[in-house]
Amino acid sequence: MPMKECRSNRRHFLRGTGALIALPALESIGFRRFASAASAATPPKRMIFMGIGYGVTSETWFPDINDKGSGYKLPEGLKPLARHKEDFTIVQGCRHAFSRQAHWGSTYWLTGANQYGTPGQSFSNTISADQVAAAQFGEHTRYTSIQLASDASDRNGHGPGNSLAWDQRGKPLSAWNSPMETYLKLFGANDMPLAQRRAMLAEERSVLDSVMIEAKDMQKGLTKSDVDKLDEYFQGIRDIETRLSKSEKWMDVPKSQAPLAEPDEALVGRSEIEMMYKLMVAAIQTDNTRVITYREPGSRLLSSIGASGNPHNVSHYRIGADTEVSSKMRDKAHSELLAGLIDQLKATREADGSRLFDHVALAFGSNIRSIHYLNNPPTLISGGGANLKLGQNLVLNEGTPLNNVWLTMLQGVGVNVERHGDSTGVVSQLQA
Amino acid sequence: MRSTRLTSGTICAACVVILLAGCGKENKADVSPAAPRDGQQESVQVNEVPVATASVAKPKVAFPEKHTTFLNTYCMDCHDADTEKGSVNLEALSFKIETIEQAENWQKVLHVLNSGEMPPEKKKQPDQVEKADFLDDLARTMVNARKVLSDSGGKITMRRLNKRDYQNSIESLLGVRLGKELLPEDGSSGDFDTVGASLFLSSDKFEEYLKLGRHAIDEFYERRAARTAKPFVYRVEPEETLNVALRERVEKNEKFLKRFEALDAEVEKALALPENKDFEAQMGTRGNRLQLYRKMDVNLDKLSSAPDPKDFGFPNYFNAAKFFPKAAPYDKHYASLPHSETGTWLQLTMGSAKIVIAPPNDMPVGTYTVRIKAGVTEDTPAFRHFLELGHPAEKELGRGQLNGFPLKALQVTGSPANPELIETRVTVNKDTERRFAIRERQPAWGSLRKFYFYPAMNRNGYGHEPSVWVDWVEIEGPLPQGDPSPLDRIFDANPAASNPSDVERAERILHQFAVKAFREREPKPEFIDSLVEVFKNRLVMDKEFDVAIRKPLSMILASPRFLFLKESGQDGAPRALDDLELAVRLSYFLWSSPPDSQLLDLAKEKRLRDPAVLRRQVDRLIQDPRAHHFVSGLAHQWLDMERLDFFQFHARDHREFDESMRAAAREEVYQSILHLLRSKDQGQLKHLLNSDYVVINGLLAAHYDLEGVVGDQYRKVSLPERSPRGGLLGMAAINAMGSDGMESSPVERGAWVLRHLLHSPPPPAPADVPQLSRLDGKPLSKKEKLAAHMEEAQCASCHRKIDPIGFGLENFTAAGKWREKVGEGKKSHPIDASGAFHNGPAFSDYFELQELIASEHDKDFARGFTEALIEYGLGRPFGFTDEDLALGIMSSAKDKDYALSEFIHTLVQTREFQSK
Repeated sequence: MPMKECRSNRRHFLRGTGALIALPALESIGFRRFASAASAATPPKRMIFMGIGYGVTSETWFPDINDKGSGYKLPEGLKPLARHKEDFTIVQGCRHAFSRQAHWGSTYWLTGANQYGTPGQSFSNTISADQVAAAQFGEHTRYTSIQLASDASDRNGHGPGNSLAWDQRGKPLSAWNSPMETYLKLFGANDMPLAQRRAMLAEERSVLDSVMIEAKDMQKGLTKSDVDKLDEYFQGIRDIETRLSKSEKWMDVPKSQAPLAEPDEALVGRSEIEMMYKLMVAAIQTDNTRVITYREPGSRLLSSIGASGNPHNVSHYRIGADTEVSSKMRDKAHSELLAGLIDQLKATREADGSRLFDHVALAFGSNIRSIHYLNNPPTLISGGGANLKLGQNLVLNEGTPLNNVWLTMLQGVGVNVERHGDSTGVVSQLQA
Repeated sequence: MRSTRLTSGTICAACVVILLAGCGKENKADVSPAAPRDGQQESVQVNEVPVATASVAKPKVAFPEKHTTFLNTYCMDCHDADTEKGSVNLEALSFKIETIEQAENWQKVLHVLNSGEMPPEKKKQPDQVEKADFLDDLARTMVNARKVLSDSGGKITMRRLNKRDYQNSIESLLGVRLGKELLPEDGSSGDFDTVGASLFLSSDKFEEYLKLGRHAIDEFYERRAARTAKPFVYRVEPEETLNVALRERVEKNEKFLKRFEALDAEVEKALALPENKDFEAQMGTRGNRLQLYRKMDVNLDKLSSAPDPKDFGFPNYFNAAKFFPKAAPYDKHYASLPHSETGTWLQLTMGSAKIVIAPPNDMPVGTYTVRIKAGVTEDTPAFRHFLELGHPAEKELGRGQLNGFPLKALQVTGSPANPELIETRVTVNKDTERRFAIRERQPAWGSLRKFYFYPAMNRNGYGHEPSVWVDWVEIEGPLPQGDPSPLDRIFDANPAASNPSDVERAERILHQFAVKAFREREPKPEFIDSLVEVFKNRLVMDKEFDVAIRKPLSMILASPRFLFLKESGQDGAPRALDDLELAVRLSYFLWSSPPDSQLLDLAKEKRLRDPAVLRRQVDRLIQDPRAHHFVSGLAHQWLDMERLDFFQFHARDHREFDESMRAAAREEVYQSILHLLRSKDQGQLKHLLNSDYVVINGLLAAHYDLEGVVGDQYRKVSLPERSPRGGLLGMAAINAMGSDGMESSPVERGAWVLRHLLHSPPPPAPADVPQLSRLDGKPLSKKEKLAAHMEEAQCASCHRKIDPIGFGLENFTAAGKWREKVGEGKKSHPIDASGAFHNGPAFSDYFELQELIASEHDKDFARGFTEALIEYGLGRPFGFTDEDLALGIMSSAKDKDYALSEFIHTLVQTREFQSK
């Protein structure tokens, strides 16, 4: 079971204003109006990826592969999604050819990279699909992308990484690890007067300039690998500079209220995921970002729904044993939560009156099917933003690169990209 | 061996069936031509590796040619150069693996065999042993090939301060110890947390460092202010609070019960009427009056002559049932206990479960003494003789909840008639809650009432038997601070009075602090200038010097020269570290902290590289309390102790494995290693395999059923004859890691022994091994699962090594308690721990197994430790270039009978440790 340490210090710390490069918590609905007033008629496209680590119960989550196309019979594990049946597609038959780690459901899920792809390194990765989108969508929003995850102790089944996201150099991106942290980053209060905020912003610039003096000086006399290491520092500073520039643009835009109240810090498992889903909707609704990944908790979910066993043991469920019961309980909880998320996306309206759902492309799944199987990983696609053919049980040729699906989604939302990882082309059957 | 530890956790038995939990995490097979293991022929052919220099020839990894027969027999019909079915031509596949492409092709061969895709069902099949041997060799060859192909060639990448380094560095500069929960996580790729290449930095982290630095500086100011704070003493006499509340509850309960009994007598009469004879049956609550009352209100018309609850002071029946005081006998019993005039018997899970200490005084940051006068009854089991000290939960004040984990477990030894004084210390930081509480030791989770209270009430009529009695609790402080921190000294040396202007004073302070923070390196003047500019702007806004200076000070703590341990170097030509660099490397190695003044002085005098001086310094460093950081940092990662935190132990079945036990079990491992490290003549590594002593405190002694160990200090304790304790295998932490919090996991334990004691790790759990569906729906005993593991070659190739060892440890429960049998009552059966190493000697029980490991594998164990030490100390994964280094350290250590400290001395004296 997950460990809970005293978190309240952390809450104080996150909340405290103090000296943080306190990006003014500018409200972004206003920003969107401000930044793209001319194109208010066409809401932007968004992407969401949700990874669950260890996979699903094969027998009861996947639709029958012989019952293809639309009108397929919804299997038990997807039943809670029945009301949205026309609005999602299950893609079957894919695989990441280079993935071999049976306990790493997330590390390569959005990248498909070869762990040993770089000589002289025992671990390498490449850019994840969400970051490909973020590179093009990110300039319009306060956060280029948002990574969400759960408590650090609940990584079991996900594999190395801090989130689902890996940057263009294949380095892990950090995540916000609790609903409370996410809320505070998105909507934390900032009642500083404008003039003071300007002064703060100027100060943050000088902070960056200052540490850059040291960083540049430090480069002297370093080996190549150390220069590369230090480059992470430079990159970090550049990222903040970009963010500061954005903050400046938003400076005059009045703040508005967060669309939901601050979450309880004690949320664990099911209630934690539910709140994260609400925050995801809030984040894109307020255009704080257009790209979100969420690495979902495993053991916290199991214990919160009263399922016995730990995620690993449950992933090795045996028909007729307690582990099968737990595995199905977990699937059901996931589907119910996902159905709730889709409800919200449908209920939330854009400025032009259209549904938020129609401008989102989302994927839910893992690189692990169940047990130790990496073929046919669970892949659920939804959202109307990528012009995909939803409502079907799409069975592709066995071994179709999973990256083909990501490529199809990326192109669908208008990302200008010709290939992703080892993709061999788009999945035409998935296109509407 | 980088790819070791890449999994975050439970790792599984790729194989099969039945997940006892897990087999092969990642693996650490080695490339060395070391002694064959398990009597098997070493499958890897390696060239001699010359001394580590920048241009070492990589060893060649090859799959043994003897396996050509297997391929010819089962594969070549379809996959030879002529047929090339599916475009797979195995004839073209070189047995030497020198490129990533070749490795990928062999990986595919391994994969199709593991997944059962090949050979196709219709074709000739290898027998199980033949296939298992082939898979075993191929899997190990792949591990070695990956290791060689991914070797960095001995390069040490510049290291960012990891969590531990950062926390200690801040403490040593400011005297402020930041809480663990505030520090940014390191974890990502699974290498040791000293490996620079795997310690990343991003914009988020930079912002966190900036913010944390400010947080630390703010607290530094609070500490400075607290230097002159007046200490206070605040005492709580629980008989004045808890006992009063207890008596009130008893009175209230009695009044309630009186009214309830009066009402109930009338209900009884009504039920006895002939016209009501079916009523209870209709309600389906025969014999359970409270349940009946819950249903009465809406069914009242069906019961004639029903009394009106309002006449008895109840708004309705439901209310009477709901507020019926089930704990009334519990409270009554405790209220009647002796010594209640002068102290309190602590209840468990409800009522007087904790004593809150909330001083009305301001509590400046600092260290405080907590004293407790308490006693315990001899009638309760030893594990109930402990108090826990922590912060009280914000809600549920009446019960035992703490906010987070207990800070300390304290053993109670006196009696109520003759109480003893317990004294401990707590630290109060800026954000520390200023309220404390003590309670009887208990698990942090679980339905404690269901597991403990009701069964006890059914047994004795009231609930838990009383165990701990508390006379009073007091807190005193803040205690005088120790030596001033470097930043304190800088402020003391630059008082406002002695400086012509604020700006000049700021400049001096910032400059001197930067030199300290940068470990005696001069900052660039422009950097200090820019800090002064920030200060000037701040001074306009903040007005006060002591506020304005904080921002630029915290910037120093987010600058790269503080966050990274810089060592100059050039590609292709290793250079010797200068004395200062060596001092830094050494102190971060053995203390995870910056060098102290003695090391710095030696470095400045350029004497540190003198081998004799260096040796004395290493001896000094490992005797210092800070060496605990080294031991905990190394052991936690070397022994994969992350797993100890994976599970919540079941509060019913493993009540004793609570958070205090988890902390003590972890500490036992560290203390046992520290004991060896610091021992003058008894420091041999082999004591970790088998020893006639343990290093424990009172809490562990209670867990191990050892008598006569009292108090919370760890000390060496001799073991009685035939004790299963002594050595890692007998430690609660190791056995608990080999469980899932409920049951023991022989697979997890067996794999751990192979990895860490025998230095013969199983290969990574392969993907896509088919699970045996034949066994679905059948309950299997552990031995049956073992048999199932042997059924399929894919499983057997690893599990024939893992399982026998794991089952040899079955005498330990998930919580590490000793047991002779498993199961309860009629279903119980004695444990049979006998078995045999794969292709190796047999053992009849745990004791023989332990003895065999200690006598046959002490060198393997030393080798595994050496590799871990090299990775930890040099900050890069152990690679083929380190072969000679490892052999050198081993042979040096051997001269001292493998004394732990000798491994450290030898490593520190090597060229590798002293060069970049």
